[in-house]
Amino acid sequence: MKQNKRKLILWLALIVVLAVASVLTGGAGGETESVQEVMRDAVLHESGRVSLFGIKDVNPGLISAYVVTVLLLVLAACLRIFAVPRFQDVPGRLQMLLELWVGTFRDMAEKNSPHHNQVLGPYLFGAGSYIFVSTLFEMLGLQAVTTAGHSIALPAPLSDINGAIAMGVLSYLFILSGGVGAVGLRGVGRTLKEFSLPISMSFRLFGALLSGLLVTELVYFYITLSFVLPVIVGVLFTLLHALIQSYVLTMLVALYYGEVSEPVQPKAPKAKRNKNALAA
Amino acid sequence: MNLPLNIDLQQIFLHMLNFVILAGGLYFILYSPVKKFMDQRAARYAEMDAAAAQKLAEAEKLAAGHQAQLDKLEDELRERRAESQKIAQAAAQQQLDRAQQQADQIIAAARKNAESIRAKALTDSQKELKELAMAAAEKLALSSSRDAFDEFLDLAEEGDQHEQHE
Repeated sequence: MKQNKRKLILWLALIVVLAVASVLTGGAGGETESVQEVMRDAVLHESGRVSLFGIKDVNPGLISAYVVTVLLLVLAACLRIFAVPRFQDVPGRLQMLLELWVGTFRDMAEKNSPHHNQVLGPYLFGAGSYIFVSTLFEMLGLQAVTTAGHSIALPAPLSDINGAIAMGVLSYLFILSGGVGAVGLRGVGRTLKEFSLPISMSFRLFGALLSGLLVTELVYFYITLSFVLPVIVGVLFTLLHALIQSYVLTMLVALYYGEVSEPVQPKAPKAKRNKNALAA
Repeated sequence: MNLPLNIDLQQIFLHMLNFVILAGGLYFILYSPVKKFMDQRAARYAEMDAAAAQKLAEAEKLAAGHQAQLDKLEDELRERRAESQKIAQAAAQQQLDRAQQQADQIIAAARKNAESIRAKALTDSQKELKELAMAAAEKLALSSSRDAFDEFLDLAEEGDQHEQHE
């Protein structure tokens, strides 16, 4: 009796395995477009555009950016209402996490720009949080409907080149404002010296996030690769991307901000300088 | 305005607007209150630290004062000990001198006494000797006169016997 039961289970398992294998190795799956089209669309968003409240057709990345902003602001409001008033001198887990979150960016600002960091801390906090959360956002796979009527998963906002350029240029302008605020026109000169910064920051962000997106798209394009592998490329890569990119951009902004806002050292008097030169 | 790579200036500005709203919102809602709490706590701890440091300094000052007092007392004690030792030594010396003086007096008295005893003994012995000598001389004188008489008598007796024989 027991032997028959075992044979039955073995037979059913064999049927299931063969059925799955035949499905997986069968056709090209449900793809309606070629891999080249998918890749091109992931980069350029020429066909997969989404309507912004019926005003304008925009890249899905912009919609993702707005969703991320709403999510973050709602989360912040909840934390402000429910967690912050209950802060204690001996912190709990949530308080420790929040203090770590704020403290990391505040310390980064104070360390890299010791003379002028009042605004730098909040900017780094906002930028770091935005990049981190928006990179992780693609894992949610929130759906949107394109203008063509297709359903697409909302991508990371910074994998949209417009989002990356906005972030890079805004960071550059912020560094410029820091220079002007600290040392006046000299700060403009110092910032303009790094004229390639907005391009390098924008395209670093765009390239890094787009590469993740492309790999994910490629993996999901083939149904056979859609098992187990996404756990590695989809989750671990995205987590790493989120950490690395938020760290890199905030660190770069803090470093350049500290550099351009450094106070001007008073020049040594000529006589003293000559004396020093003679002594040397 | 169409640029290559589907770059759209309007969308860039929309992204910027979005980020500015987000950064400002996060600053006012979360960053500022959390930072304020952390700063207040740090200030409170710094204040406590400063108060503790001040108390420690006061305690150290007090301890130093007590130590100085202890040192002073120790010095005073040492001085008094030395003084009392000196007094004790002087008293002992005085007693020793007195004892020496008494001993000298006793020795002198004993010597004087011994001298008088010796003198007395000498005179007594001289007197006794004199008496003995006189007694002896007297005795000698008596004994020699008797012997002579006896000798005479003996001789006389011997002479008679001779005559008879003849």
